[in-house]
Amino acid sequence: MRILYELSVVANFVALILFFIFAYKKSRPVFVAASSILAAGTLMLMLFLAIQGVQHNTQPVITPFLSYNFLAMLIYLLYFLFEFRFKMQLLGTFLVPVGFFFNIVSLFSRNVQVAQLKMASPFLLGIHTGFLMLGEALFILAFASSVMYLIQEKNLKSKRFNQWYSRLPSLGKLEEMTGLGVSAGFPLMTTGLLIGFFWAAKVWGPGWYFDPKVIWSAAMWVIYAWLFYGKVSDRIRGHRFAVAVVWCVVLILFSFLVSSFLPSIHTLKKSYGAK
Amino acid sequence: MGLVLVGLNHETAPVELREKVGLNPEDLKEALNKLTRDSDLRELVILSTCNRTELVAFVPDDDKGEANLVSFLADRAGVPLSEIREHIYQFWGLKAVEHIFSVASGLESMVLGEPQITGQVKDAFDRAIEAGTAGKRLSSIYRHTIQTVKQVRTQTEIARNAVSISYVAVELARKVFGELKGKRALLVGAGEMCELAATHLKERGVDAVDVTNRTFSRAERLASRFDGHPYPLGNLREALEVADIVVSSTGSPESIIGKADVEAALRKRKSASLLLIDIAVPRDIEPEVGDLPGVFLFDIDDLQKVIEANKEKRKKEAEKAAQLIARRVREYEKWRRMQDVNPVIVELRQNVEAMRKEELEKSLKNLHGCSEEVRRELDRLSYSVMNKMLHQPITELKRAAREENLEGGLVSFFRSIFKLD
Repeated sequence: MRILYELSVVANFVALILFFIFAYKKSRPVFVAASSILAAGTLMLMLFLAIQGVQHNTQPVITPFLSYNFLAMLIYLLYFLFEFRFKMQLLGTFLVPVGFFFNIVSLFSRNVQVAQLKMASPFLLGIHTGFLMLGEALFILAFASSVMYLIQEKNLKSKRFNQWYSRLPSLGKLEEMTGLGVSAGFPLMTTGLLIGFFWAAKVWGPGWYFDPKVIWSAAMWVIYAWLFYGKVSDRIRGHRFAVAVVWCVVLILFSFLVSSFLPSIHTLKKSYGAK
Repeated sequence: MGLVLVGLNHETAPVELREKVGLNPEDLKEALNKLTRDSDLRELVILSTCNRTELVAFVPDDDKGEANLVSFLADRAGVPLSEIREHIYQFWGLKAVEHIFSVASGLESMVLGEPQITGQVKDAFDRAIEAGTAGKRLSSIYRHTIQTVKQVRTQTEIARNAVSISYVAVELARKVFGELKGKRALLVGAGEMCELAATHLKERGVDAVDVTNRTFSRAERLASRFDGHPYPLGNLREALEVADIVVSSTGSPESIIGKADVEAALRKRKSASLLLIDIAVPRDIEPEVGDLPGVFLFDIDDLQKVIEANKEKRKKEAEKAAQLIARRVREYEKWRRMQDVNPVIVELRQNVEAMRKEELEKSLKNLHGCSEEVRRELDRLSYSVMNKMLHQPITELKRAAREENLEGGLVSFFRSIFKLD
């Protein structure tokens, strides 16, 4: 089944290249080819993850390798969903590289065999990771639209009426998309964290909250809560909102990667439970 | 029967000549009737706009037909034939069709890709149909023209980018806000340019257009037209607090909107974006306003830059449109050839069917008392033989019509070998 995963990575890489070509040369056939190849790659990734889940009778998010790929898959799916909704075409050029980044990161993640894991409450752990991933994917979507927002804003402010000005969507549309990403991502992330805390308390016992990853996650949540509040109350808008989203996503990605690569109390030994 | 087009436009004739030759709607009907009555024209359409007058006709004799049309233009202009010939262009056959498609698509317009010409071409054909001077042939060209224009508009971006100040203002507003529904505009000054921009903004969904002006009564009149509020010029800050789009064009020698005014408004706007378009010279809005966060300021030079960039884009799209039109002309020609052979095919089938029925009747009379089943079988057999025998020649005729210029040769040959009328 590894072949499915490898084919998916190749397909997504080709799609990524085509999205870059499309960014510089507006061509409908290139866009259609990029989207079709990405659809094929995403489908293969979904199949691979589903097979992993069925084979090991668990959710396909319980190892770093699987969770990174799960996140990549969610990002690709969100691309199709939002492209269908907003029809902005250049979204692929900004979002697919982030998805592919996780495809690649997964290759360097800790090699844990699902079959070797003996987890406590694996269902809860899977739900926790699933919600978090979906929330993160939505924040990453907000990140991509914020980057597009900042480029388009720069074009307008500096009166550069170039190709990017013509092809990037309006600031209004980009802000709407960013808002959707944050508004939908925050409740999912919150749910994921609450389930995670519950799981940690159950499995790790007293003192679970001293884990650096837990503390870091809680800090991230506070930042996102501020962002979410700023959005729903209309207190943070436009340029400030786009910049805030970019920084928050950079921070959360950093925390996500650091926690995965550096040892902490949140280690496999503890997480996957050795009794 | 040939198609001929004679005309003059803004590139070939000066305005003094164009205005003499141009026809208003009342004159047009009379001209259509007179020309078809007095000349040997079978069908005629006249397109007359401020930039062009074109006569399109089906004529039995190309040269004679063209001479009639040129004479008509010379008479209207009150100049000798030799002089009018210096300012006109002529197209025959498919070149004429291509020219009609190009004109209707805006490729020959002064402002490349402008959409009004399509309506004018439609009106011209409608008037000719009303007057009874556009028959089957010109109506089919009209149909193909409209289909071509639709394809040009949907498959190219020739009309997408704004090339006038007022439309550029709308384009910029859409780049900043996306949908303009729910947005509010403010006009500073009540001049013609502001009014035009307000009209376009309202057409694109802006909820209301407020107006502030030195002469308050004018502000009141204009604001009521666009569902907005009038503001005395002194209450500008108050108006800025609720506006999303500001279009300013006053004759003031000094700035009307300063950085402090906008800063004060921004504090009450919860960081909502503000688009300011200053089309006045000297400028109404201090340039420093553009440095404020969430504020997008464009002056007349910026708008001109957008127009130039958009004109370049339109030129590129015009190349695509020309290719599309060339393809559409080929499709039209194929369709037209099929129209030549279709009557022949119908007639051939009718004749052979009549022959079959006659022979079948004879056979059935000879077969006294044959059963209904035998009758049906004979009918089916003869029908099947007829179809099989006709299939190949008809297919070949259709293929030849699609792929070759028959020039009537094959059709005549067909008629003679099958003894058709």
